[in-house]
Amino acid sequence: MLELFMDPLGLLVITFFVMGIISVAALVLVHFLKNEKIKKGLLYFLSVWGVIIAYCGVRSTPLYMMDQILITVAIGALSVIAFLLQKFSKKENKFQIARALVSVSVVAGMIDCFMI
Amino acid sequence: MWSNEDVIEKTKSSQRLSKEILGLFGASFLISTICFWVLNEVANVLVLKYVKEELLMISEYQLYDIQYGILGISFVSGIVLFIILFLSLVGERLAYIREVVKGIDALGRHEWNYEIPLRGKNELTELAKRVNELSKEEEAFQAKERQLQEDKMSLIRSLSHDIRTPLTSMMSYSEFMRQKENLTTEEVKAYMELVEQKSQQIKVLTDRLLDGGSRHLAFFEDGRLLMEQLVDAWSAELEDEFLLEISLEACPAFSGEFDVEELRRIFDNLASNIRKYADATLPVQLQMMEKDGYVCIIQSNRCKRLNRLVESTRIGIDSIRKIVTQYGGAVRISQMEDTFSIEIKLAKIKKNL
Repeated sequence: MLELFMDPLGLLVITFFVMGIISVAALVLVHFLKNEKIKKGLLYFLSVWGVIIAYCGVRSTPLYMMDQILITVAIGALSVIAFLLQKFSKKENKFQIARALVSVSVVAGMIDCFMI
Repeated sequence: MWSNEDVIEKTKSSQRLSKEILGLFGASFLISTICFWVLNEVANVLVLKYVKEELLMISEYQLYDIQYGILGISFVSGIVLFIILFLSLVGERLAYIREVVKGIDALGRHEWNYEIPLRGKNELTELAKRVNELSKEEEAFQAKERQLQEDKMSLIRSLSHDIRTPLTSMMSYSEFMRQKENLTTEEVKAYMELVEQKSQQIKVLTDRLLDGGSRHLAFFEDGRLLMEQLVDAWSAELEDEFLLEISLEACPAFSGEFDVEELRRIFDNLASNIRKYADATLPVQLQMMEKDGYVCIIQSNRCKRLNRLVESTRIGIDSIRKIVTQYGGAVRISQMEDTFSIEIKLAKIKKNL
């Protein structure tokens, strides 16, 4: 069984689990923690994480499936928008909007990367 | 003392933290369980999809192996997720203890204005609230202590200054008598009377210092007569050295409750200031009148030109102000170039009809 996990399939499964745990943990904490500083830090982390997930999705998609690639890029862009919104916007509810965007980006990115 | 409502509130809050922790445990467990199930299902689908796409030839047993392997990894992932979530969420709640400890440390360093931010609604919040209340109470107590100490020092300064006035008078008169070669019987008698009068005054002021500045009010039917006597004493102090212009015609007849010693201190301070700061070449004016329904005393004089600057400690004027405030009056000082004027609105007039 161990040999099976040393080959590409095994690496894929392990990568999936690791990325899944990180994504779920970070998403839950950014929604439920009360410390504003930590929440902001997690938001910035999730923005970067969303871009990493989108990158993995783009790299795992064949080039002839351009529409799929574009969808993956759009999903990743949501994370970038969330980051810019949190950093530069003066809106009062910017954190809530950024958090929603980054949640959508991470979840959709994971589905796109591993399921589609 | 705790009221019934406080006890009920306290009991409720004592359960809140444990309920919160239990809630966080339940939420972490639920999320971890859901994640375990989702990760397991998705990983299985992923494996089947990969096997189908890559056209891998794997036996049923190998597939079972893979699925059990995935189950094991999902289980471990669920546990790891549970630990991360539970420790992060509970740790954040308990980290508040550090803030409360900071506040208690500040209390120990007498930083009374330090306030612990209140977060949540549990025992720790109650503790933080109590520490903040204790801090405020201590600050108020310290402020009261400081005020009492200040008042005490002010009373001592004021009475000490007022004791010095009759003492100075006795000393200057003694000096005068010592320098005179031939003393007549009348002069000796006058000196003895002055010494006796000033000694009595010093005794009264010392008694007042010892009993914490209590007042001895007496009702005077003829307040105007009392004022005339005090003005006479004031002029007796100064007439040898200064030219005095006294005007009492505008003062109406009135009655009221007064402490004679306090009024004497007012006039002694006025006389003392004249001796220290007034120009002896020009007249000193004293008027007494009714103004805005108050008995009003106005003293004005020209100031001495001195070679070196003599700083007034203002203790005399502060003493006058404190006494006048007790009668509901007010003191107004005006100083223009070389002229100094003090207006004392002493007390509201109750006119004798």
